[in-house]
Amino acid sequence: MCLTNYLILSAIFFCLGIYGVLVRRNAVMILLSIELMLNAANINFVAFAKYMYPHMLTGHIFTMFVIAIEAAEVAVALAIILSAYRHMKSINVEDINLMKW
Amino acid sequence: MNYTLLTPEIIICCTAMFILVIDLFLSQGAKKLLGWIAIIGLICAMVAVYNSPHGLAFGNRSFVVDSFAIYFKYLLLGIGILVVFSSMDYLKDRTSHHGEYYFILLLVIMGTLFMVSAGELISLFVSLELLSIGSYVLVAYLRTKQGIEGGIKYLLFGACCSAILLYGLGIIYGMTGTTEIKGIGEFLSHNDKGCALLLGLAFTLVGFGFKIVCIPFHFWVPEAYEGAPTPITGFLASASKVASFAVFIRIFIEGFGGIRQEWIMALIVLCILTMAIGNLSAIPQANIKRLLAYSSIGHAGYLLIGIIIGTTSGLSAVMFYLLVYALTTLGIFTVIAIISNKINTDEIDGYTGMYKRSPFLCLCMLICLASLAGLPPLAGFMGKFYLFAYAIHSGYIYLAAIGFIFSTISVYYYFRILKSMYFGDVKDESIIPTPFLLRLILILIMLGLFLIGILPQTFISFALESAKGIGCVNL
Repeated sequence: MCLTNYLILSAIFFCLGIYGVLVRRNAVMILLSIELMLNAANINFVAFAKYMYPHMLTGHIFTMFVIAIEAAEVAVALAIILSAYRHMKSINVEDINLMKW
Repeated sequence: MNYTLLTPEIIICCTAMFILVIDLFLSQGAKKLLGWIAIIGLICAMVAVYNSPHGLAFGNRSFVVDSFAIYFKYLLLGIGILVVFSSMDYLKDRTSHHGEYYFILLLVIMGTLFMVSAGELISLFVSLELLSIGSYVLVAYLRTKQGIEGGIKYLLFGACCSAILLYGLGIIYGMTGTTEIKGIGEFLSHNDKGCALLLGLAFTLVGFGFKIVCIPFHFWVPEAYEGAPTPITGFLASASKVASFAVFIRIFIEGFGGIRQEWIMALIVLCILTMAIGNLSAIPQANIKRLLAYSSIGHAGYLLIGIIIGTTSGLSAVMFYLLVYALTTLGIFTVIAIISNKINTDEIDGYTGMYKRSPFLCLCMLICLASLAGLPPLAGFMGKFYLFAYAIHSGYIYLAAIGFIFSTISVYYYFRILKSMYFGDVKDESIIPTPFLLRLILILIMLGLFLIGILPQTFISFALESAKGIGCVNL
């Protein structure tokens, strides 16, 4: 295994994430796609840290911070989506358009 | 380790925790106390900033206190105090959950303080997310339909853009081997830049373009501004923008200043688009918060001119303009909050004949809008004057000309609001009550606008001194 393989893997994940964000209409699925994008970035950090700068821990530490932040973000996101469901009985982003663009 | 540098942040964090605990023991009538505790905490933090030495808190550059950061900390804490004052009145009848509101608000202010001090990508990303996640909650805080809709849109756009930003930061880390912004700058001055680095740069630009609200990353702005509680709209328009611009300056001037020719063209295009679309979309708006949302996009365009100039004096003009803009915006949103307490709508139609109902608020609105439009002798005029003068001085005459044209257009839609306030028939003649405290604060804001407009020298030289904290590449 070399660095390039990991970078390609992360690029594929990132593109899948962007694709999901653009085509999915369910708020939770969009959130999942965003998680995929964040994890693609995480793979990048760890791969770079392991193959290019093995004597430093910066990349690993960055990843750990990102994982913690992701958890916080998802907690807040699910809370907001839940209260949207209570109000509008739907979490389809196309139904959530009381205000025009 | 030098924890004394962190005193303002520690004070705010402790105040936030204290508010959360004390909230449990207060009866519903005594909740007003929480706002005062928040204000005391913010004032103490301001005193701590005043006494703060310069230096690095942790040896590396993850927390830098330099003159640049100090300037922004004063500004952000000032914004925080004004937002808390206007929230105290606005929240009174709208929700019974006051403790959590001030808790989150203080944490978000703490996030902005960390942001302006972040000289390193990890601390930068963490503080950026502290600001964003808190803002998502605050936008949806009152759980009205509009609020939740604004919150969801802000959240999905925000999370997506921070993922893109993170991917970009990852590539930059991989190519340069460091997460310190200054280290990145040094690396770029000695080494060849690769294609991958430019990709990272583009992703970073998208992430920050979202935060400072430039076209085409602005879709969340009108919804979030319209749906959020009015003081929070003021906060998003001022503090969030101020802190994001501080970070943007740090990363693009200090980090990528050496490869300026790679991103300057993209930034010029974004700047012109932002000025044009922001100001033009504001014209047909019927909701005042939506109108101001688009106008704030236009102002982000003017501010980008200063970053394109890229010299110390250009940055000082940006910092001065941010001060003026934040003060003016908070004045306007305070007035909107007071009026909406009574009339329960933010539509411009509802403002018809407001002059009969509250001449004082109308006068405040007049002065603030005139300052936003950039009419002399108000502060907004001096802000635009310095920005455009430095642009002409550095050879960006076309940017100054475009900026001037669009700020003339902006006069039209600002005065449309004033027209409906001062003229038009009054259906309901009831007086709009203004609490004494807010009246005092509005008077102070007005005086401030006149003072900055007439004596800008003191402020601009302070901004210039502070801008020297950022190592500019000499042009």
